[in-house]
Amino acid sequence: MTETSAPGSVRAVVGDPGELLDRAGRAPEPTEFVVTPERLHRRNLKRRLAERASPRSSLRLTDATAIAAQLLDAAADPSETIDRIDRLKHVEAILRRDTEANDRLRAAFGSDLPARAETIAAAHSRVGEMTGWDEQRLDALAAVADELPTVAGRDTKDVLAGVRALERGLVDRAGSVHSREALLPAAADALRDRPALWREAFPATDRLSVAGVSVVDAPLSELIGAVAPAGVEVTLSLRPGTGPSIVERLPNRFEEPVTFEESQPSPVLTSAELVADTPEEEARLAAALVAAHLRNGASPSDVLVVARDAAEYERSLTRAAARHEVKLAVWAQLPVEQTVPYRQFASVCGLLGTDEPTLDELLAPIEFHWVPPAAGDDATAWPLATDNVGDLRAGLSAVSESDSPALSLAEWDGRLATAVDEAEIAPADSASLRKLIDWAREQPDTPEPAALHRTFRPLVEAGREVTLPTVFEADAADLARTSRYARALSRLEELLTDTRAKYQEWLDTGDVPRSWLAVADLAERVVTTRPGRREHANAAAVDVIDATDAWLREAPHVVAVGLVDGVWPRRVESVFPDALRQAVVAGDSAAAGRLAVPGRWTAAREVDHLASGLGAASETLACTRYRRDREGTTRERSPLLADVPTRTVDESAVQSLLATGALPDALAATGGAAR
Amino acid sequence: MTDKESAGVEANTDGYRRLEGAQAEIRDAFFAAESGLFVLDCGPGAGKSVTADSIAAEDLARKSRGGVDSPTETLCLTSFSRDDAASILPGVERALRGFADDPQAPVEVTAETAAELGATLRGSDRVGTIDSVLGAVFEAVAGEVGFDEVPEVGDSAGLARVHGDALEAVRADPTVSTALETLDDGYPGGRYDADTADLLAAARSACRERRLSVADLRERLDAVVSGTYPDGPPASMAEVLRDTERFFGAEERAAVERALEADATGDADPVVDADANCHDRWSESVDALCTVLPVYLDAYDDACRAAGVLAHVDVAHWIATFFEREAYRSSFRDRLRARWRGRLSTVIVDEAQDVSRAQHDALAPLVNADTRVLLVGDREQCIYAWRNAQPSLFDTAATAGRYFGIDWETHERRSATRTYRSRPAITAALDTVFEPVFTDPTRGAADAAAAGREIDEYEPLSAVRAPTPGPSVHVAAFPEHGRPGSPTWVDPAEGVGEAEALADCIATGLESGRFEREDGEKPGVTVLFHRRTHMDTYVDAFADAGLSVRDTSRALFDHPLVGAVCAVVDWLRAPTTQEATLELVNDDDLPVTGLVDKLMRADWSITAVADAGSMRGADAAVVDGLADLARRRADHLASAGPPW
Repeated sequence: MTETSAPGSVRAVVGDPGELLDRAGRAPEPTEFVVTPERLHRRNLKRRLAERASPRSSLRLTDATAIAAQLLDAAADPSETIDRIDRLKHVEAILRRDTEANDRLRAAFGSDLPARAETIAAAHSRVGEMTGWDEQRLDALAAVADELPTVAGRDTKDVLAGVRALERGLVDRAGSVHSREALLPAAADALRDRPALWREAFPATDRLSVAGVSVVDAPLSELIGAVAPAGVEVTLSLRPGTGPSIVERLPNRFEEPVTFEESQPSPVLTSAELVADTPEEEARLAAALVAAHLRNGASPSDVLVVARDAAEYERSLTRAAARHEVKLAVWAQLPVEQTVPYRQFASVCGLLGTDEPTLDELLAPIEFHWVPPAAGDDATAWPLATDNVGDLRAGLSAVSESDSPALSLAEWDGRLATAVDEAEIAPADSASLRKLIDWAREQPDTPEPAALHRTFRPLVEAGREVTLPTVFEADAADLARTSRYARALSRLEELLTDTRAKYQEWLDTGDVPRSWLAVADLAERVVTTRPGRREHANAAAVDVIDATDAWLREAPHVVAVGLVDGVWPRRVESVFPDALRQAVVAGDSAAAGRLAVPGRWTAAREVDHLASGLGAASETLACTRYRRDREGTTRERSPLLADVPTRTVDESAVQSLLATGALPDALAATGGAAR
Repeated sequence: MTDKESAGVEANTDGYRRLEGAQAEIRDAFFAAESGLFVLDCGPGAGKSVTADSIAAEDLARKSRGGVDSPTETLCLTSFSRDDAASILPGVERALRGFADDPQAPVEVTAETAAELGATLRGSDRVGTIDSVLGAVFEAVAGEVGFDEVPEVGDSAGLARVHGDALEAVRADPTVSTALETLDDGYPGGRYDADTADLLAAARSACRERRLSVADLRERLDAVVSGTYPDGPPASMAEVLRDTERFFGAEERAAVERALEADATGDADPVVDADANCHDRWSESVDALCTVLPVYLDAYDDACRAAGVLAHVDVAHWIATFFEREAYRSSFRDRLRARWRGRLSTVIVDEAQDVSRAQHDALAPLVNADTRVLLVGDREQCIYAWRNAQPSLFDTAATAGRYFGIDWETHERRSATRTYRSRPAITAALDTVFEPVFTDPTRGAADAAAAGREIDEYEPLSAVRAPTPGPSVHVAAFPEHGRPGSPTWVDPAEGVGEAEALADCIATGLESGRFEREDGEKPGVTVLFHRRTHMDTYVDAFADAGLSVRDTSRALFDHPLVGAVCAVVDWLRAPTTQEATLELVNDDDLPVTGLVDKLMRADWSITAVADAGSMRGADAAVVDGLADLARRRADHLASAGPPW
């Protein structure tokens, strides 16, 4: 076991996170907090401990925000942050004001600031990450800006002035600890005023570990800097790409001396490098590799596919894998706004929120599989088939005088009766639409928050009881549609809860009218600003994950896809001028050295992701890439591969793999890939 | 063979070549000055693009040595077409590697720095086609000119819809209904190449590409009318004959007079009236077009904003307009201009003769008198006039030192006729063909003649490569049949036509080793056609002669499978309607027969036909598949995303 440090010290370890597993044990209460950046990292940690049959009651897996909030609660200080939706609402309101700070933002971003709210909010977040809103660090940032070339300096200073005013505005409107970037430093301050606060809040916990992070931003370093002097042993488990540069900056940011260790990295396997012509061919290569491993006796859980962004590969890999009858579980966020249950929800809100819906608005809910609550006793075959919806549309159009009539529900009911009388619609078919109209007329015109659940919960249940079985019956063997539908229903339930809570808050503050259209609008905000979990479709399938989520995972066979320059690593982006980004990253000046480096400002975290992805492999490792993208542009090999031992698989072996499924020698059995 | 693929005299690593002659002179002048306009104007195969890439690479290397931050940000390197732009990055990287390996390179650079600069350049949004560079600029401008988000550029389906929406708005506007009627009468749909909709689209394109106001366009159109009727509409047969002689020559006039005399019963008045009527209606149509056009332009721009799509020319238009118009004056505009001018110190435009007025005006605000601008091109190789290339801009830069709206204090021009590409016999053949063309005041020298300038003497090409022992120009001779380009000429019923003669010549030449490469590899042959009309016949002839042929005239997506997919997607918009279903089953690309009768009996429901199980084999599979797609219509609608 690696030596631990003394209480009240900070120890940074770059490399092997395994020592964390060694410290897990049994305890009546957690003695160690483990903070990880991602939920999936916590899951991986639990999984590894379970594989080792290690008890883990001595560890509490949490995040820094929760720790800070508990400390502030113990100090009887405010600890409520606001979510991103509310923050954006406040940001838009502040940006609408006529102020000098906003004039400076206009010079930098353009005349319509509310339209640029997300970009400006991103700049605000970057400053928070770099400085924790500490005055000295803010001055350091201003000093760095002073050293920049003219235009870049002017841009930086204008943005800085603007976001500092924005922060003041947010504090006025939402409280002093409205964000994580303010909460953590506030907890640090409370702890510095009263170090005994830690014992009061966490009597049994004498250790804090921060693990698997690619960034230690200013707020986190503030908290750590206050936790250590409170007698807590702090360990930073850093990753090989970003770790060294984080460690280099720590002495500038902590008062306590930092002990640094670099553990010997586990040797990475020599990777077989396979090159395809196009992205689609690459997906077929990767799928062929997976299929070949499975045919050779590996179980699905023994094979792992890693990508810089698994969602980008979901479609092409799934299609390629289907040719081999291989099931993939792609751990990506479900794009819920593209699912039938969500579109049904949105179209029902649209129907209920309009006094005179058009024919399209009237039929949209049943187009998206609306099923009446308690439809079990109904003779109608729900959900309505495409043909039935088409018949209703044709029949109602036939009895309408204009091309796109907009009528009240009562008038549509009358129009429906006319269509039946004139034999444009069969009586049996009309019953289904009449059910929708009757149901809609029973819903409140101006909904209270509780109405969201009263109206939609029965629809979600009907979707689960009636529609989901029909999707299952018609689905292919991989049950992909069924899985997607079921996930969408679950997400919709969460969405109803979140939207209802938001609706209540905003009604109370007068920010929305009481209407179904406002509900729909809020739900849209929730869906677009609060990404869902990365979740998998089903078990007993080969996992396809973001490489960063391979942290602490192990699998005998790993296939890493997309090793193309510009894809992995991504181009570095910054909402600030590039000159500022470079100055902060370089950290050459004393002022720059005081600032934390935002994670997306360097390519170093791409190295972290790759290390996690490739490091998960215990027996064979393959990397794939393509030569030309879909635009026909030549794409170069990823520069990250320069530091990875590789052996290129020749073209004939690649074609043989595609044509016959024959695993290249470099990957067959233990074939040449030994550590 | 492209400019860059020409083997150099002193080939070093990987195609790298040291500059010489005019190339080296313009390079020397470029680096001797801090700013200025530098023009390399030279013929085919003279290494223009190699020069551009080499100067770009040297510029980066010098800045890197000089400690300039992010040197790749200071360089804008563009070409007009995608194919040329695609070779920019490899060309610059090749030059950088060459500098690293060449002890006599004009600038010292390590292999590591060369690789780093190349890698950084790959991520630059200032390298590529002019349209891609302007796209990067437009991201900051879009919001200022009325777009909620940065629009999709070049989506032809989206643009077609925008055009349709704009037309709808115009037709609903009562203030232009009379003018529209005039246009519809003059250009009825289905009868001619262009109808009112096409005219409006073409007019919009012309105005945007050439940066003409509607008044400018009217002036030009009126000039065409008055140029065609210099003395106004004819009032008599004599005036008709006068115009006949003026435009078609004395012989043609005499022929018309003889024809009139031969028909003693004929009445000349209708001829005169028809000609005069043509003039009057033409003028009315010009007036009508220029009345409707402003309404259409506004409707088009509104439709673009609503749909979130734009054409490339609109991007250039909006950038130029944003920086020019008083209405857009703001501190942000000043800052944006300063950002570009503050960072960009070198602008290189390859194939500069093809740059359009719109592109030129859009790039101009990003450049000031402190910039070094290199234009590389050949006026005589302007091949994109049909895409509104404006070679006169390049001319003015070369001759008068004016470009990007700046009269450059430092202005250098070099020309070269040395070609590294072709053997002497080929250059002699090119000179033979092109000398009369480029000195003809009605053809290649038309601009000079129209402007009253002296027509320059043609400068023959000078081949750098040595002649081959055998001939470099081969002529496939055959006995003539019919007119050149006619079916009889290409492939007569009897005897050998051009297609077979050419195929034989190539096949025997390859077999006998008459066509050789210096490196001993088998040569490929590229056959260029003026028209596609008989290309298939040639392809067949080549195949018959045992040659394997790649026919690049066939559009990549011009395939029945693609047609079938498009037809099905179209049908899915309304799969239960008779109209859509009938259109689908009548589509030539859909591989199924005997479906119409079954659909008629099943009330036009594909699902019902599939459920009945009356189709067989492959047809049944297609119908089952269509039914399945129709059943999953909700999924398709949902996965298209909400209409946000």
